[in-house]
Amino acid sequence: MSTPRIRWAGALAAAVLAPAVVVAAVAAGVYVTAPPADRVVLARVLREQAVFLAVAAVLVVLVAGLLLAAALHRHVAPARRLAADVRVVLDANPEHRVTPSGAAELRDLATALNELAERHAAARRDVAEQVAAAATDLERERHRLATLMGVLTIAVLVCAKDGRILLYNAAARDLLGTDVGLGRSVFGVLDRNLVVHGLARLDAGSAPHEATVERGGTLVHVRLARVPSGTAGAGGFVLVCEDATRPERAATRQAELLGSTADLVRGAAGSIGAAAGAILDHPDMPAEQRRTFVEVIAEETARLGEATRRLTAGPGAGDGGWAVSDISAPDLGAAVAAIAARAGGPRARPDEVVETAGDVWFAVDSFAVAGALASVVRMLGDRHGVAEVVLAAGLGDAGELGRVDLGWTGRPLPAGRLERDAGDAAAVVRRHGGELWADPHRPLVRVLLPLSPAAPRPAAPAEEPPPVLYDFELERFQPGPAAWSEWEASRLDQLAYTVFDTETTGFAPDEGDEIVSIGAVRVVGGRLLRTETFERLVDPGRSIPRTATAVHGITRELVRGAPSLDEVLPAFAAFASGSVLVGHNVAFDMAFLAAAQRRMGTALTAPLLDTLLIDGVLHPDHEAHTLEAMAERLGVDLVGRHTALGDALLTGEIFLRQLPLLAARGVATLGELRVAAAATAQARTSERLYRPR
Amino acid sequence: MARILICDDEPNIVVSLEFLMRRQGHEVRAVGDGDAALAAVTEFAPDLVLLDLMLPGRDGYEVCQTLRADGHHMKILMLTAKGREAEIAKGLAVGADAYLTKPFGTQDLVARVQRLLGAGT
Repeated sequence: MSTPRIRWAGALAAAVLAPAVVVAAVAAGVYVTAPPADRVVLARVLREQAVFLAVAAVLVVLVAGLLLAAALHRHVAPARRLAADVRVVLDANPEHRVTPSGAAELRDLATALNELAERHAAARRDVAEQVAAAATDLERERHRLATLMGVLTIAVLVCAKDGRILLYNAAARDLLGTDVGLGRSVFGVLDRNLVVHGLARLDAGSAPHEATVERGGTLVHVRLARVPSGTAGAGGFVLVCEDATRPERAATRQAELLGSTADLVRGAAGSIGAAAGAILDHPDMPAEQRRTFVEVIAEETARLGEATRRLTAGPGAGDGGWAVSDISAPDLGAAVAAIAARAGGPRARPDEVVETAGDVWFAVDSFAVAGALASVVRMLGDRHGVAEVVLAAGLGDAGELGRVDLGWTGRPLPAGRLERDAGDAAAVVRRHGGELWADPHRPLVRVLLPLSPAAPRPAAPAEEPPPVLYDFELERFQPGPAAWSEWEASRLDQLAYTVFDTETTGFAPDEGDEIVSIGAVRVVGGRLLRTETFERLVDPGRSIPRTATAVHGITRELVRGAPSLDEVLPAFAAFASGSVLVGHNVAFDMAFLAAAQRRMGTALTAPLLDTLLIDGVLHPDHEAHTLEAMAERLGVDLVGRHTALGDALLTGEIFLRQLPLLAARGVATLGELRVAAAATAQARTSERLYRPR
Repeated sequence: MARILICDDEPNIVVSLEFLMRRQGHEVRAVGDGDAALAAVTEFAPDLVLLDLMLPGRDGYEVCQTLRADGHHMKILMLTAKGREAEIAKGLAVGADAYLTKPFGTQDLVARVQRLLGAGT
């Protein structure tokens, strides 16, 4: 940024020196061409009048210089301000107007430019109106889709090829937590292996893949499908998730009722059949004996009637079956391992399942069965000291059942132990029509489960409804790179940003002032994501001066019970992960966060940008770089100031408008911006620029 | 001819089983739960056990597995209201010789018992 200043200083020097050189040259010429007698006279005059001449020369040079400097001040500086203002009109705020200043010609030019800006704005409004009219239908569609997504009770996520979330609905956030957000990786909330495995299955031609994953104590039933090629987001995938726990409970009651009733009916039928058979086979039996059998038949018939009544009157009877879906043996193994790992019992190793039974598919309620098998694993650890359980699977001996074996090193289980220690698991397996037992001779629990009736069929290339959403544009945006060199080379318009602000107890972090609240908002794809914000009150562990409360309204009472900065920092780091941090005069905020980062070992390693320094890059000739002045210049409304989140949102709006201005100046990458910002007067005159390395 | 232990907690089926087995000339003892069955085996030394699976306390599988673990080699014919493939597989895995599902034909039962006893001798 110093080049124009050097040029200006050079011009000034030239302007002052040029007259002096001309005068000196003329004097030298006169002296050389004069006859010798005149030279003597001239020399004498010069000697006698030297002081006067010197003073005159200095005065002439000085006056010339001052005149020139004034001219520069009246012409050059206003012209440069003019250029910067016109850039603002062109790239950021069409309603911004040039302030006429400087020479009359420049003031005329400014007025003319304002007229031009007026017409330009009018033309833009016309175009905008036409675009708006054309977009109304599209907007209606979008609104309809948004409403639909909003009322869906199942979670829907659309992800790009690399797992970044392009679309999600409210249910997705409810089910999977606040780590779900546009541009964030879905692998932060769902096990990457399950998704990768499911995609491989899909690409091998199976129907929409279903799996069950364990998350935060609940099991989530996930249905996975490819985004069809030729549509937005192609190459990515769609996840539909449901809490698998709820349908399970009702289903359990229903299935248990059915199972117990069936046993009752069979028992009664057995008694009737045996009695009737005895009478028929032995017509010679005494009358008294025959009477006993007839009584048995009458009694058991009454039991049958009772069983039928119970079945039809039972709670939840007739409200549909339970959630049976196809699950591959490897998926089931992985689910068991994941649940067992969470429970902290023995390790369950599913690797062998993948090798030997990749093509075995079970038709079960995967949530219930995975949970049941994991509880057997846990029981083996708790009651029998088993440290590691190896899972295996395969087809059963008979056609309709497959097997899952849980093996360990050690002794076989004694008779009846499995039944007593894992009765609930046995009940779950049984109501699937399966069975489980401990092998009498080997350290092995065998579980038989129904196989999927048919191998999963290739999905028909059905006419799939086209996914419609604008957020698919997000695909262009790079996830936060890991290496610093990649950060520096990243294009500004392709990065994700977290714009944040803090409120504090005062201005001196090194004298004990602390943060009382942090607010942040994410900027992805040139949009401020108002639904993805971070706002936390922080207990500063000290009093809050009245002067500070007067600014942000936060009192000691308000923060009582709030978490400390040490607790909030990791949450903030997680919120900001993978994005560039942006703040206004960000070094101030970072100074408050520095101590906590050291204490917690949680470093905010992302690059930092400062909207104040960016303003210095864009408007070196404007004096005011306050948030208010910048907001006014860039046409951003001042709403909700002096709350951390309000200021973060305002800063975000300003930052969004600064981006195209930077592009117009040829600042395209993060590295270029950081170099430019470091060279501004604001960065030079203070130690504001925080260097994260 | 042979000693047969009937183990079922359902009196209405026991009455028929006892009658049918006695008519075949067998010596019959009936018990109503798993512990009683294990005790009776020691004392009565049956050649064949008609074993129901749904018993109070120790179930039929456990009784069966315990008998085999204790080194008993008598025939065990499982009788149960459960009749699913998985249960048959489990019953055979823990040591039963055969499996009969309720309801069953009386002649079928008699034939099955005869076959098992014949094979044992």
